[in-house]
Amino acid sequence: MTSTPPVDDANRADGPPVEEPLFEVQRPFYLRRRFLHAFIPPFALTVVGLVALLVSGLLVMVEPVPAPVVTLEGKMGTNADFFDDEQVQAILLRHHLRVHVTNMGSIEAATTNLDSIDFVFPSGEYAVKLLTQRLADEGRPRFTPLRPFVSSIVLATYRDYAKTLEEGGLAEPHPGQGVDPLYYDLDIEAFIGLFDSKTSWNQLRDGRPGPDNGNQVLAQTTDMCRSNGGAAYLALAAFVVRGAPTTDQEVIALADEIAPLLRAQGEPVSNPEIYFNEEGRGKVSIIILYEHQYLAHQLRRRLDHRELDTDKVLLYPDVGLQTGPEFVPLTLNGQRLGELFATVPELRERATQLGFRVLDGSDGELARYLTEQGVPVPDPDIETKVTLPRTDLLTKMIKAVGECRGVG
Amino acid sequence: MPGRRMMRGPVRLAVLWVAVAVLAACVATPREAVTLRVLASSELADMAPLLADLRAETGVELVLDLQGTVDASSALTSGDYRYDLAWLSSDRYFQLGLRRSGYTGPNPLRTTTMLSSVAVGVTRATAQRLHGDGGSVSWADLADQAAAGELRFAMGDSRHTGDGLAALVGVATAAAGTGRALRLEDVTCDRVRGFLTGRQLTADTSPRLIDDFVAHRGELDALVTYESVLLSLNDSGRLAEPLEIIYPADGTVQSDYPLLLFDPAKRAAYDRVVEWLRSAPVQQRIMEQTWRRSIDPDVPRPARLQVAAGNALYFPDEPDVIDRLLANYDAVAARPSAHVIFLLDFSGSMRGRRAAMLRQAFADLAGAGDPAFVRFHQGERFTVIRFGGRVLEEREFTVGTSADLAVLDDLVATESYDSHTAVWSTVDHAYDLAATITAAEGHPPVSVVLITDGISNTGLTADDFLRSHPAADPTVPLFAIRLGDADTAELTRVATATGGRIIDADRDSLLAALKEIRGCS
Repeated sequence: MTSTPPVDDANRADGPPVEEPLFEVQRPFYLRRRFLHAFIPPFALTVVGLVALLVSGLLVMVEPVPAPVVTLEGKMGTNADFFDDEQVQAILLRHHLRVHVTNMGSIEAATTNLDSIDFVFPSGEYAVKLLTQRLADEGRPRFTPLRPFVSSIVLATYRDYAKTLEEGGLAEPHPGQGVDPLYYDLDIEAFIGLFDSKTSWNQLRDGRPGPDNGNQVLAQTTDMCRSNGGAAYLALAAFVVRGAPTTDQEVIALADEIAPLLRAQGEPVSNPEIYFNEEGRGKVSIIILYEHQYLAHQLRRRLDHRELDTDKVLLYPDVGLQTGPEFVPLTLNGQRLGELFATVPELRERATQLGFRVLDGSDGELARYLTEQGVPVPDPDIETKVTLPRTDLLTKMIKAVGECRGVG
Repeated sequence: MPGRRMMRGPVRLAVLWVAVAVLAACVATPREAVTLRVLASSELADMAPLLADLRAETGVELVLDLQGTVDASSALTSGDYRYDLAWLSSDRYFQLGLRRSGYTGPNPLRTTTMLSSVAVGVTRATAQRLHGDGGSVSWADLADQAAAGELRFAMGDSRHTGDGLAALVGVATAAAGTGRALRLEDVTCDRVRGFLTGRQLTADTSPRLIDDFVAHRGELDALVTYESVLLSLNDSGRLAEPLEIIYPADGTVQSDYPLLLFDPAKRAAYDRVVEWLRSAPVQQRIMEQTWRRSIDPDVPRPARLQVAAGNALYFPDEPDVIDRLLANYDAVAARPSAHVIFLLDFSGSMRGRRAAMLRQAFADLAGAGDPAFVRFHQGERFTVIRFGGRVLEEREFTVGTSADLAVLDDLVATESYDSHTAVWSTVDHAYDLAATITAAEGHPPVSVVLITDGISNTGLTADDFLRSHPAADPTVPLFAIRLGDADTAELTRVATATGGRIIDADRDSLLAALKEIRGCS
């Protein structure tokens, strides 16, 4: 460096008078071209980088977070529909809560690992009882559970299948629905009888127009070993065939008797929402669902200013089974979320809009909302209500019929 | 030299600052870059362009290890999860594997991502032939044509690929005709053999199957695989003429491409991938680029996906059923079908109604009736012996052309009957013949089917026969189909001793009985 003085055009052009060169040579280093050549590019980038840092930092800071948002971990089955809803998420966010859902069968949710889970929201009584028992066994602190709404077990199908059942004398439309009824009452005992006599859809149709389908007439379900819906249909079918069992012996006999009905579908349905797709017919002809799933589908259509989906219809078994989902907090944060159900009317309103029957004494809220949206109101004629067997007996029956591995 | 060195310093400095800035930006964004190892079905190779966007938009890179779905499921079932995720056409084989292994732990988280059903792509000429009567096409029609040598197709190996196994289950379920998921007792190999006669080409992975199909398309009439793969192939310009897609009317098997999470520590990245894949714009692109159907009912379907893909076929949930099905599948591939020696009683009492039944049953086996899973198939060999007091006529057949079957027709149509019935001498003769056949190349299995309505009144007795064939060759079972007044006790005794059995038959059941015993053992 010392042997090579800075090369400068001006310096070289000028003569070497005594004073002036000093001035030239001692020009501040930061003004020298070479320095500037070397310095400006990295400096500019630094500024850009700092600005980027600042902006991104500012962006984070301008997010509307006056109080910290707490994220809750929840495990549940079909009730995930509720927390997946954008409006529900927005309401919760206003209360500084965010819910991260792990969606699985309710029975699975109740029986698998609950580490760092704030609440479980099983879809029906059986899974709730399994969970409650487990929590007691593990000596966990108790928080107040909540039953915000109920839904019914229904058989969802397509119009031509319902029509075939109607012509076969098994189903009857709810009164006052016009030409394209959405809701039917189903003689569930006769329906199960069709399976016992190995009747296929083509045989039931007996040459009339309708679905060309050689499969036996039966209802498909989710996995009874894992989900409340599958287990509920087992309980319903058992009740129809013999009434609720009260002893181990009755469970064994009953399991043998109804296993073919429940197992003839082979693999259970792992994606029940497929029913609402055009491709649903490629997977199911009748599937066990909750009423709210169907109503939510029709309400969504109406809110999008579309016609009702008249190809999809519900069969209400005349032996009814209502399921009460229960919100079970496992932590204080979970408890806090549960309390919102009671204190925030918007949440209950939204539940109604999602097809749930809200349990807050305001009976008829769902009917009112359906009417408002132009969705017919179901009016099932339920003759009997299913009595669920004792939890331990139902567990035995599920395991025997479903040949469950592991959970349940 | 020194000048260049001088320039290096600032460049280094600049790089450093850029690095700092980038790092700062990365720390500031919640979407850190993640790479997930994914065991995936081989046909998902076509997702590559979308995965590049997934990476750009979510920061998650999926590195796919592609295998046939059944192979992939077996790799997962071993419990040694070397992957963060699995993305399979279907997790049904994986679930069956868990059942078989007795695993009791939790299930991996699963999310359905898209849909496609296994269908049959056929050439235009084949489509015209199949649709001949204007109706829908069933697995029974396809099996019938395949057995007759009129449908040559490519299909994934059922031991390795999901579509190959789904198609095998489809054919077997339709053949059982119970309208429910296959049970162990419904699985008989005679019912899939006819269909598989037509399978001229197979492969362990989907891309390989397609390449081979394209290479041999001149010799093939059909390709059995996912609807999405068929539509993509039609679009690819690799075929001179697009395949017409048939959804067998007796049921198809739908796949829902679940994304399974094996490493719970990767949950956040999994959620990002799932959210992206299920978003409406991506679902739209999946349909447009891969022809898989959207799981979102509100995403509009392109015209070609607006056709219904048929009814579902109930898929068995018992591992034993799949095992037996695959064992039969192997047996069909590895061994020639059984050579059946038919012994037809042409004594006087058979004249009239019983002879008519016999003729009808043979006409059906020759493929004259409705399309059926069980009929004589290409290359099948059998022997027919007419007997009375002695062997009246003996003929061996190898099914090739319809002329061969016309000869069979003539043989059973003969209106000449004998006044005696030498049941056991004829059976004895058949066993000598069986010994010759079994000794031949390939050692084809042999069974003897005796159709009689009378009591043996000449020649050897049952005891004579059993003495000359001590503990009769257990590899050659005798099936006795009893019509009318035949001696049940005696027939049962001998049939049982040979490892066969007696079957009572009337008009409706003769064909059923013949179908039942033309097995693969």
